[in-house]
Formats: sequence, C-alpha cells, structure tokens
Amino acid sequence: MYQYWGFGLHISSEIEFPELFPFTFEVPDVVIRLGETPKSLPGDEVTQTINAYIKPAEYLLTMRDIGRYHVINGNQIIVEQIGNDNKSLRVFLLSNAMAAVLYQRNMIPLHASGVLYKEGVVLFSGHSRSGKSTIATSLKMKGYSVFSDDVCVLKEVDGKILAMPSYPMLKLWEDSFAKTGLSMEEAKETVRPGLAKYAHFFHHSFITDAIPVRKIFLLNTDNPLGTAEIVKPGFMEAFTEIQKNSYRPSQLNAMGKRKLFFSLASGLVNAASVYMVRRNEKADSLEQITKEIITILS
Amino acid sequence: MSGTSKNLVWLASYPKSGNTWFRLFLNALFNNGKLDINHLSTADTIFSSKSFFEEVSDLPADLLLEEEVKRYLPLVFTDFAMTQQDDVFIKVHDAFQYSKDEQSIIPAVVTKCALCFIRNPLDLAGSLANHYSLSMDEAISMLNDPLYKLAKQDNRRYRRGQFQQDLFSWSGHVQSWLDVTEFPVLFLRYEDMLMNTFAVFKEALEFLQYTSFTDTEIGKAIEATGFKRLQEAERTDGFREKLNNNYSFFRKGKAGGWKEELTAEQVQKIRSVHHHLMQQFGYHDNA
Repeated sequence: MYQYWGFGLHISSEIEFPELFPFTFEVPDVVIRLGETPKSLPGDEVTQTINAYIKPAEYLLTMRDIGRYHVINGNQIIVEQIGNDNKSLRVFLLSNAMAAVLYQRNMIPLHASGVLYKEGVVLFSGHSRSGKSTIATSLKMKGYSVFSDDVCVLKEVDGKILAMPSYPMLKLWEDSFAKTGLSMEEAKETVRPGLAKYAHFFHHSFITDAIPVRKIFLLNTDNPLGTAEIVKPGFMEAFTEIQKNSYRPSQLNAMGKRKLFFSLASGLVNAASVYMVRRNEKADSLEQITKEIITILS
Repeated sequence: MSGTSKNLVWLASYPKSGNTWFRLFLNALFNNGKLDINHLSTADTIFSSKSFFEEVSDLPADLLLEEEVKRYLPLVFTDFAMTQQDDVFIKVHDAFQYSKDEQSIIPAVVTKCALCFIRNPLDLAGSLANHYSLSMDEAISMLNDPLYKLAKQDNRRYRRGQFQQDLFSWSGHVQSWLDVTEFPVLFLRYEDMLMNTFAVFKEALEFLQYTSFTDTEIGKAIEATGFKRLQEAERTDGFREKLNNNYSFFRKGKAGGWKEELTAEQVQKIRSVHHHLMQQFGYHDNA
C-alpha cells in the first residue's frame, strides 16, 4: 500500500498518487482500494445527481469510461476502474470522491487557494475560474509559498478556525504560465489526457500543519463597469459571499452539512480580515489585483 | 422518467440576432415593466454556462473533455427541469446537434418549445465585428466558417465562463434549428421585431401560450426595452454580458446598416455562401 498525507488525512492506497504527499503513519484515516462497486445506491434518503448517488454516509459516483467510486463512512474509497485512463481516474477521486470522504467525516472543504503568511495562511476563495490558482501562482513568483490550490479543509480547534491544505499540486491552464511567469519546464504533465491544464507540483515546500487563517480575499464579485477594486465588506456581506464558495455543494446539502459549513464560515469571517475583490471577469485585471493584494499583505 | 414535465423554453440564435432584446423584454414583461439589465430573473442562464453546469451536476466543468460535456449537458438540463414548476427560459447559441450517443444535446424530453431568432447575415457582419473585436473580413469568415466554434477553449480556458459551442456557419446554424423535429420551433426575424415589435412579440407570447398579458402590459415591456433605453442603461450601469468594456453592446439596433458598412465584394462573399437560406428568410438581393 502507498501511504500519503492529503486533505488533513492519513491515506493508504492501492493506487499510486503522484499528486499526494508521501507520508508515514501506522493507522490510516482512509483506505483506497481497487474492487467491485455497486451500480446504484438504493434507499429513501438517497439524493441523485446526473451521475452520483449521495447519502449521509455513502457516495457513489460513475464517470463513464473512467471509473466508479464508492465512498463509505468517511474511511473507505472503493474504486472500480473502467478503461485504462489512470490520470483521469485520479482526477475525479481527488475532486469528488475526496469531498465525500471529508463531508462524511464532518470536515468542511472550502473552495480556496492559499499562500503562507505570518505563521498562518491567506486564502483566495471563489468559484471555479475566479482566479484562485493564478493569484496564488503570481504570489509564489513574488516569493510567497503556496499552501494549497483550489481546496482547503477547515476545522475548528479550541474555538479557532484552522485551515489544512489539500495536496501539493497547482492545476494551471497553459496560458497561466505566461501570465504569471512560472516556467512550463516544471509542469510537463497535463492533469488529464487531452486537456490543456497542467500540473505543477510543490511537494518540496508543502506543509501538513493546520494553521490559522489571517486574511481571506473573496474573488466572486462581478463588476459590470469593469473597474477592479478591493474593498472591506461588513460581516453579513462577507458571510453571504463566502457561502457561495462551498465545495461540491450538492454533496454538502445532500449529506446535511450546511449547518456545520455555516458555523465554520461564520467563525472564519469573524477571525480573519476579509476583503472582497470586485472586478469584471472579462477584463484582464488579475495583474492589477495581484499588485493590490501584495500591497495589503506588506 | 415518469412525471417529467416539458418546461424548458429555448431562446436560440446565432449571436447578435435579437436574442438578448427578447430576453430583456420577457424580464420587463414578467416584472411589471421594470428592468435592471444586470440582474435578470428570467432567461439569465445560457446553455453553455459552466457555473450552471457545475451547480446542477457537482462536476468540475474545467476538468471535463468536450465529448463528456456534450454527453452530460442534456442530463444536466433534464435534471434541472425536473426540479422546476414553471417554464424556464434558457438562451442557447449552440447549433442543434447530437452527441456521440445520438442524443440531442438539447434535451427534448423536458423541452416545451424554442424560439429561434434570425437576422440578415449582411447586418450581422458589422454587429459581430463590434462584439467580438473582429475586422469586417474576420466577421465574414466567422459567418462563413462551417465549423466555427464559439468560446473556443484552446489553451486559455481559465477565465472562460462558457463551454466551447459548435456554432457552425450562419447557414449551418439556422439549418440545424430548421431541422428540429423533436419540439416546436418558432422563427422570428430581427427585422420584423424592429418593424412590428408589438405584433411579433405578441405572436411569440401566443406561441408560448402566454395569453394572459394585456396589450398594455406588453406595450409597457416593449417600452422598457426600447433601444435608446437599453443604450442608456448600458452607459450608466455597464452590462455584464459584454465581452469587454471597449464597445457598446447595444450598438445600432437597426436593419440595413450593411449598406454603409460592407463593400460590394464583402456583400458578395456573404451572399455566395448563404444565398439559399437568405432567400428563404426574405433577405433578397434587392432587400
């Protein structure tokens, strides 16, 4: 069995994951095995999406021509491979099946990238395509260490909200390299065959600690007039906005974890300095925004 | 799939053919004549929206291949339709086509009908050039390209809010919607919408079986979406459906502008490719 640390968990796996962080431990939190899976989940409490069955303690996802993932009790993922595309098999395990593991364990993933800052982390939280990875990469080029890409896991310890990273890989579109100045030499592999999205590993600087969130930049807000600005919202505005950034919300809802998410989100907004980035998604304002973020951080 | 109701209404068109105008009209109509162009409560979704897709499916849109997206789209909209009580209007620029599973990408099983907006391709050239920052010749190449893709993804997908869409050429697009047999489609010419706004919009509402609106209510909604009103709203508030802020979305809003915009050679380039369907829709050589 391979042994990894990922999403705050000790993971034993029959499948090799170059994306995850190799780690040694005695007792795993989660075990990933190859095996047979059911084709559907019966029962009254099951919620169906177009290709998944979701119950509070059980999740079944079918990705056609790739594989089927059966997640049980937050401690097992049974993977039935369909076809031979290993990379794609790993992609959907790390995105959707791991989200199910987390929710089943009452751990809340947030759609956010982050960089290390003052013995804690600064999060860039927003929906897909809001610029999370590109901003984190731009800051990396200015000397900040990337904490996590796309997802962070939140947990409450002694009344404090801490964040844990997912795994040491940035997923970047081909044009993000030119935009941020990151060399493509270090990202030779695409995330999936046929997709112009590349994997950039940062295992050498990865940390596995749960650390406090110092600041959060919320990246969602559209501004049709096109000017970009960073403003400090009031509590309710920040709380409303951060709720839009839950990860895999169908799972969150179907597993009944919305209340827990509210509680962590409100704790987070209370404890960290929150900024809202308003920009026109179509205007190319990331460079300007990155500069302003750096000014705020320094 | 018992209990499925047919409640999706597609507002289909080649880009810049009056689709947005009609969507804004519906918003004003359903909202007692009031309109905020940046906060639409009706027809705010486009078929190719990645965030809509993600919200319904819980799948990461940017990690899927085009073939997978085409397979999942009808499932996503079927799933969505089954949670809706009332009609839902959805804008679509995709040509009507089938996935590799021979399923139409627009799910017929939950579709009530479609409106398809048609505009003279000679006038489209200038409008497309303005909207997509193209030269006139590039806009004509777009109209004439049988394999044209909208929101082309290539290597720069990260800011793309929409999936790549098969648009085809203007004729290819229009023909694909003419060939639909799965549900009723009403074709509306932009030029008729301009000339006889009230009659055409009322005809569309009758087709949709929305017969409870009075002429006064329809008139009020038409007034709220007058071209000058929309231009003014865009100037003061911006318009979030614009591709960038370097142009006016609501440009001229008239028919026949091509006579000042195109050279004889450019006109010929368009007519030679689209002659057949231009005739069919009354865009005659002397028009």
